[in-house]
Amino acid sequence: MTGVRVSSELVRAVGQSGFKGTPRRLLREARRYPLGAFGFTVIGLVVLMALLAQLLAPYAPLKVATGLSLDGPSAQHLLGTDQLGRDLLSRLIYGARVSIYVGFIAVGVGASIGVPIGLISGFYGGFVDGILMRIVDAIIAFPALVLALGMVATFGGGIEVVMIAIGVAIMPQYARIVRAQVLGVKNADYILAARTVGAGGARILVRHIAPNVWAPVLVVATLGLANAVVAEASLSFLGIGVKPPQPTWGNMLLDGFGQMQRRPAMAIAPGVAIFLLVLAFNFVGDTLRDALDPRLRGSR
Amino acid sequence: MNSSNRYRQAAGRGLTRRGLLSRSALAGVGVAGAALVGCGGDDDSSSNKVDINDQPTATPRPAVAFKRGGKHVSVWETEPSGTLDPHMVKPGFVAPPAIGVFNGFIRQDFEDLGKIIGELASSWEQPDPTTFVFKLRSGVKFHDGTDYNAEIAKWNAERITSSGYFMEGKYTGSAAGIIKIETPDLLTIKFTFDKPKVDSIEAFYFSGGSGLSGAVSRKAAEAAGKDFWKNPVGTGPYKLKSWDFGSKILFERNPDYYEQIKGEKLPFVDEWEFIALPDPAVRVINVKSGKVSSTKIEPDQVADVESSSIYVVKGGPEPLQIYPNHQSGIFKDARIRRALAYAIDREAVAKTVFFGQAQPNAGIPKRSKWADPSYTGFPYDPKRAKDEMTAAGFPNGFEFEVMVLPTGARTKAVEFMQAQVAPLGIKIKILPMESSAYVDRLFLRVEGDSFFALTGTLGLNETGGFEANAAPTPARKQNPNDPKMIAMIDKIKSTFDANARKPLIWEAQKYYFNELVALVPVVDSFRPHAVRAEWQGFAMVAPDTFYPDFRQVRLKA
Amino acid sequence: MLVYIVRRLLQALPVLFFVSVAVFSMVQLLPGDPVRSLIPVGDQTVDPAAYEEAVQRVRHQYGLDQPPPVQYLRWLGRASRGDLGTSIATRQQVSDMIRHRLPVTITLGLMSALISVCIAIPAGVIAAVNRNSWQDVSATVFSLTTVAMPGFWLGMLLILVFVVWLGWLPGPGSYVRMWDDPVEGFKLSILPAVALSGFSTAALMRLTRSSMLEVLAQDFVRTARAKGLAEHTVVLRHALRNAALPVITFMGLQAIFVFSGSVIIERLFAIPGVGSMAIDAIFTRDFPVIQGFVLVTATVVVVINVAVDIIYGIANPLIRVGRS
Repeated sequence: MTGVRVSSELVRAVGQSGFKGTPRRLLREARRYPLGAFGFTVIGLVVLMALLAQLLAPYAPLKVATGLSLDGPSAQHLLGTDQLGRDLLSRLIYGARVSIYVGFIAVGVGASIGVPIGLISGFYGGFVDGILMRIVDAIIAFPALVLALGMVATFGGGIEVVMIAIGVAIMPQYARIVRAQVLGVKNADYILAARTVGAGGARILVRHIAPNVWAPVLVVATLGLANAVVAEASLSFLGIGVKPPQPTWGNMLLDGFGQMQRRPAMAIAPGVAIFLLVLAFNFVGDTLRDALDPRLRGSR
Repeated sequence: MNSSNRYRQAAGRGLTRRGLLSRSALAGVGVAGAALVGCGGDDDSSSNKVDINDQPTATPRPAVAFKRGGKHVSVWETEPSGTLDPHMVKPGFVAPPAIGVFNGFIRQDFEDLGKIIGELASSWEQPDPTTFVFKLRSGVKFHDGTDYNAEIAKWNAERITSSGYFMEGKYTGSAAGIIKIETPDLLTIKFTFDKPKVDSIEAFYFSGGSGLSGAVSRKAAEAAGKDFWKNPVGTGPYKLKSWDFGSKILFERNPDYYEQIKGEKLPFVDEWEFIALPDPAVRVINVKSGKVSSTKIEPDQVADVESSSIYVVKGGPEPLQIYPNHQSGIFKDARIRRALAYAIDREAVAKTVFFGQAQPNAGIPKRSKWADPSYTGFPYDPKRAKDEMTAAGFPNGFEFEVMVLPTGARTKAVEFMQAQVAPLGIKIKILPMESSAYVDRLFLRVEGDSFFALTGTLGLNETGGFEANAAPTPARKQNPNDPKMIAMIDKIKSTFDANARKPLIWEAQKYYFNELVALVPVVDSFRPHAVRAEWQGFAMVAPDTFYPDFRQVRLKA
Repeated sequence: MLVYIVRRLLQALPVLFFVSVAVFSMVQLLPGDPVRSLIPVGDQTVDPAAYEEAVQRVRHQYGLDQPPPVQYLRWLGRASRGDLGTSIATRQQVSDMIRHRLPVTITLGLMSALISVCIAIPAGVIAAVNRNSWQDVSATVFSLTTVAMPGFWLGMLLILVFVVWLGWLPGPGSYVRMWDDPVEGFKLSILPAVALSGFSTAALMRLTRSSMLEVLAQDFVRTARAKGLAEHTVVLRHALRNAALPVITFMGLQAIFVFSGSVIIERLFAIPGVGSMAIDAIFTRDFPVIQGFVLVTATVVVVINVAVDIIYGIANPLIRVGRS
């Protein structure tokens, strides 16, 4: 949220510079930003894993087997088995699906609520701005986990509720940052020009302002993806995340906890998976921030 | 024990037959010791006597000398909330500390559920079906020094029946319906009920929660008023020393406690502390490091914890069953319920999910005095399951949802069953819910198909827990509404001869489980407790309560 | 200036209003009746009429039989006078419970803020000064490590390492407060504080790094360098001072995060703070406690953020004038 204040200049600069060369520029930057490149690669791999789960996983993730509980890693089961005899590696691979799915939908929900609020609030200002921002502040002040717990308790557990709960909780970030962007760009020359020509408010909003706010939104979104993955794990730890028997990395962490000393693979594997994915999202987010901040481009 | 027109039960009877207990010089105290050894006089049960050097229900060990003193740290899952006023009923954590601080007239023998041990009452009888007479132990004092006698007992009984739950509203416990309490002398108290009570001795049993006979000091209660719940004064083996709300609660030994075993005064331990540790992995870490002396553990942690410094005690059994919705939905049809019962491989569940810390459920656990020893429960028979399903019109399977507490072995059990019954076409949908949520949905709004949890009381309750689940009640609207079952229960409740009642109960049990399929049985799980090896005498109290009896816990010498 | 302060304070009120409405509505929507779920099952069979009566009486006592808007207003009215009601599960005064537990959570939050600051600021400075070098990368990775692990996992690992393997610290449970026994309290608080600090460390590091980068690119820094000042003087004396502002904003973030993150950490480490109280309350549908918890923590968060904004406003007049 502080990034907002600090980069008010950024906003102006970004608005003026336009975005035509950005994708090509980003690729060039990949070499200059090793962390970002690493991050992209990891994300790509996880997405692939999620999509190709059926091909990659040696066993069905839900297949229970009596007598095989809590076996250590072996030739047949590379990571061992869980309490019900299910193969951990397969569950890990399928778990990627949930992480990706939950992450993207939650961020999607958050952005699709937050961005319009930010746009309207910043552009129209005044009373509307006041009310909307107070509501946003209220959501920020409301402890996120309690909000999620409450929603899950009300609507029942399940992947959809979890995603929406996380999305609502992170929505304020988008609202705030978009609003700051809008405020910065509102009085720019080309906007004034559009107004003189007679373009109405909504038109200006959509055609001229909105395209210029996506950069910080993208940064926040990638970090939001990281947070969503962690949030899902936290809810699973409390036992109210995604419904069983669906494997998620959060579920697997919970199962593995009690066995940490005897079967460390059970807890470490999903933990490492979450760790890498979240790290990757963070790297990418940081890289985007660096790359899209034009003022820093000069000082190398 | 003869049982003609009068139903009698006298604990004191058993005493004189036992040569061992000729130390009746310590009259009241000796009776306590005898009571511990066995009572009721129905059978000579010398094989069940509690030897001070044994560890009941634990891995058998040679008798070991003991020493007094020490501090035992035990664990509960969530914060020690609730009240320590035994008349303000609150389920949850309260019971274990409450039974440390208070006594009632009688309690259940944790070794043999059929046995009743006298606490504040040294003997009792039921001269006619509406009357109970208790002879009280003499010389018992409260922690604040005031005397316990029949007047105080009467005051206590009035305190709970007049105030009821939350200290307001009418008392609805199993001792409702008392119309008269008399105290012919300072050590005798007589209760008269409005209706004949069949073996409602259970109403006077004190297990920490409700129950007519929990005794609080009148002087302390009147002085503390609304704050009594945090400053409890009782007659029990422990006194409350300090209470850090949300975190821990500490008790210290009551040096004047009346009870003895074989001449040894109870309790042995100087201090007993309960701390809140919600996370199961942390509990194991703490018992291994010695910070905690005993703790409940999950079945999958047993192998991890057993070592030369820690042993595992089994509690329970805790019957876990699927409670179906009898009023609406797929389970309205008894054939579907039976199909599910046949479709579950209980052996596999016990072996895999509970790591052997469970046994297939076959009706009322055998430890209960009402268990029919010949009843074997539902076999695992997928073919019969399919037949029942087909007869009900679902040859290719059916779908239903199960609500379950989100953590621990229960969710895993349902997951396992889910995978197990899938080949038959039965699709289980799991809904993790905390208890209040599913109570609301299933019990009150009669929505949803089923939930998976443990059965209610099993011990002294006459009908073996039937009543709670056999007919609709305001708090269990999803129960079956079967005239035949209700008729059987009524018949049991109006038969005063214990011997005549038993076959009725067995018949009812068979009907309840096989025909009515009021519940779909799964397994009885033993609640394993990990105990550090320097402690002995650690035993679990009655199977429906699962907390240790800390009267006898002591250090090895 | 005064206008600005007053304006910020006034803006805080509707926020609290919205929060109170939100939590009240949420609680109304929660399924599950705390009263019924508190009465033991067995006794419910005996006398249905008496049971119903008992339930109704308790519901009346808690005002649960009134229509929701009435309940809301009564609650709000009492809350403004400091009476947050009585907990249904524990029968204690909610305000007592919170008063008892809030200091514990706040202590934890402060400890973790301190840890974050000690790790993140040096890391951020180093990263900014040596942009894209190995120092930057390793500082980034190091501080991101703590955020990339879910707090409870980090907590569990810390327990494994420091309690089980090394035995340096006592296991969780039987919490001792810092002001009762500083040594023991510190031993029991250090691991949860570290686990809690994960997210904030990364946020602060990123913040420090980007502000430092901005400041370092400024003209006055170039001037200082041109004047011949040693690099570290430039960094420490000039740049750092200007980049300090975000740290204050960070405090606002920290306040928000502490109450949310502490829910899980307190559960894992068996710490009797407001977080564990909130979780138990949600699971037992203890309305008054949930409402009280959210209201109090939101108030704390809002107050801290207003203070942060005011400080920020004093430091940077541009903010006061019109933006965000």
